Amino acid sequence: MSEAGLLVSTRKGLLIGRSSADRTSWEWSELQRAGWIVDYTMLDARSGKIWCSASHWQWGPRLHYSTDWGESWVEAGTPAFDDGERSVEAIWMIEPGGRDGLLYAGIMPGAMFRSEDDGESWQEMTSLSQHPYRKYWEPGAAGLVIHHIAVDADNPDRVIVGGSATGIYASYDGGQTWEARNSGIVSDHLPPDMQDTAPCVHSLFAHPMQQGRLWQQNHFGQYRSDDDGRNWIKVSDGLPGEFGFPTAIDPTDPDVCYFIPHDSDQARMPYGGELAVFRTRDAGEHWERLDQGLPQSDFFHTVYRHALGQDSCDPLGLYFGSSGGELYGSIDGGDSWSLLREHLAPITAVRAWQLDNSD
Amino acid sequence: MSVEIRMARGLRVHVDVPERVNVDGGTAREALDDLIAIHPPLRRFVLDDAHRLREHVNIYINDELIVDRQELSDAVKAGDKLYILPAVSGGAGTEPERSKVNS
Repeated sequence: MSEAGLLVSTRKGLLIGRSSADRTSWEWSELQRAGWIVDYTMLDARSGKIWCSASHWQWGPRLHYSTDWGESWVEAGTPAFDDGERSVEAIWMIEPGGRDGLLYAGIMPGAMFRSEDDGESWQEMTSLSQHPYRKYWEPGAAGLVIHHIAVDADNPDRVIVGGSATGIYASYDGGQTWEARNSGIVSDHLPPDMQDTAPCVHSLFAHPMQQGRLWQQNHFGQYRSDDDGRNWIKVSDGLPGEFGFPTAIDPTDPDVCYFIPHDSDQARMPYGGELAVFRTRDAGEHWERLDQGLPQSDFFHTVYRHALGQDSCDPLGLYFGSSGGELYGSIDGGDSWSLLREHLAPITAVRAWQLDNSD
Repeated sequence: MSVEIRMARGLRVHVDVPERVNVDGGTAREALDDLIAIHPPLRRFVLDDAHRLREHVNIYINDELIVDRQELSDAVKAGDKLYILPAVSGGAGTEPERSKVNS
């Protein structure tokens, strides 16, 4: 029997939802890590650990894990700079590496760490922090952040990262060296001759089935790449606008992608207060508006960059949360949506999983 | 010389330390270092990676807020009480910049 789960990170704690495979009825945990800003939570299927990065107004960032679905939490090592100058303010993403015990962390301010011992100790990947383009990195509204890490499950040495506003970098040697991968991205905040230096990446996914297929929500448009980011193709035609934060993919179909366009970097909310998800099934040639079950007036919240997640079920499940504390879910690939939770704190991240417990 | 450090309830709910600890030191830094040697988990709560006092943590020596937040060189003497207190900066409108948006 399989089980589905949801990790809903909020500005005031974490909720864990669990359901049978039909995903029609959810049982929710008590609020975990209450009082902490939970930036990101994910399940590492290799170890069964739920990793939770959180930070506190006064007491700084922390990284915890749970092996009992949130019943108890163990403090892991927390990434820390050792140069006597910088200090980790928040951990925006934790991502399993391609081999046992390897974890990556995306950090604010603008850095990436790796752990070889399943989170006990962390080392800064200075090869990225000292990239020649580092001098062009510029903090976005949320700060200078490496917030997306895409790891190749079949090739642990292939890692692709993105941030705000750092641009995208690819490594094929496990992070020893990095190549900027921003060609084709058009950024209003950069001079013409510097377009490939530090675009403002909002979200980034590498498709697990098709080598080289990347999807990106950028500050200035939606993009697809078919060659690991060597060239980016803008796919915004047919969408109501270019701005937005989250992206989701269908793990079984590289041509399927989901965006939630927002009205400009000034308003940062869905167009006209009408909440809608947009889906392509042909690699960005055409877009479908998916709004059945979603509020179509007076929705003035933001959907943050990590706040849209997908599972791996068939049909695909999609879940997203808003800065207004509403959680929506779809179990038909986005065709229809229902409100799963409301009155939560601003939702920072949503991640879903499916586990097969039949063994 | 012996200095008594008192830790706020808002700190003790997160880390297992007593309310009062007697330490040695001639400056706030030395007293804090001695405290952290006794209770190592406190370090990351009070200090950042560069060993600076966290932005929203205050240290008082008796009834005076320390002046040197960078080096913590403020002098302490035997019998002083040193308070580690969270600033009241977690409310709306005074949030740290990074926390205004998670977008």
